[in-house]
Amino acid sequence: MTVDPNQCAARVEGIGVPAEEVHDGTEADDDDCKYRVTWSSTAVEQRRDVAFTLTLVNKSDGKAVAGAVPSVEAYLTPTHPAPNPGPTATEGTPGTYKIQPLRFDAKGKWIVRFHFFGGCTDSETSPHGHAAFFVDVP
Amino acid sequence: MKTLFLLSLLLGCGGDAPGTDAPTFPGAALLTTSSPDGAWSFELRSDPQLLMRGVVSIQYRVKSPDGGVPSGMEVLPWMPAMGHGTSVTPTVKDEGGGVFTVTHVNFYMPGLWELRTHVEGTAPDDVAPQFQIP
Repeated sequence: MTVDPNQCAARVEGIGVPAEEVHDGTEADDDDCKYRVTWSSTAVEQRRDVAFTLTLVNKSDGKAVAGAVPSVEAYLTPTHPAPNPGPTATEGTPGTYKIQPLRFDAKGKWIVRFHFFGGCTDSETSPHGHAAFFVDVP
Repeated sequence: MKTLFLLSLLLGCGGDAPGTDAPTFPGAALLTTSSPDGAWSFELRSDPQLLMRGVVSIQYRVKSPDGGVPSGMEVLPWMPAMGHGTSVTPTVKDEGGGVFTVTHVNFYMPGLWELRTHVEGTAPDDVAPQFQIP
């Protein structure tokens, strides 16, 4: 699949939110199969700040994906989001991102959904992408 | 054509979980607007007052020119640049008298967001106030 960066300048109208495939484990493709997404974290506990390290690689050529500006939605249920303040991302080596702090305020099976290139239109050939993972909070 | 209002708002202080506990709203409205045909007027207030990235609450005060109030309301946060919204579902509570409290509004990303709002009542209508989230 060829990703077209020009789609970052496009704007679309639509309805609903993207269908969400949630993955177990710490590695998966994004929802458009553009990227391989891998994450790790500091110890996950209730009411403690957790830092995530995320790496993003192009599936087409295996190269690191720099400048993705990831953002995060984390929620236990659709009406139980993670509390403020939400985490921010900083890029270290190209394609590697530290995302922190994320705080889980209850135990359970949370969903952590990473968004990439949020300023771009969401389509199969746009850089915009998502990957969602289950995170167990003891 | 929808009437859209754009506000550039400054970053506020981020406490624990605003929008998930009982919200409190300021006296001054964050913005005022009306539906395209003037059937409804809207005052919006927010907690925190200065909108920020994260989970916030919004209070709507809605009325018609003759003092009528809506029978219901739906709110969908939306980011036009992405072409989608959020996985977190806002909770809309009808407080009576045209006052609606919307919690779990998740502006998880900086940028321009809309609150796509559908009003039910004698004249169903839609508005989409916009907010620049820092």
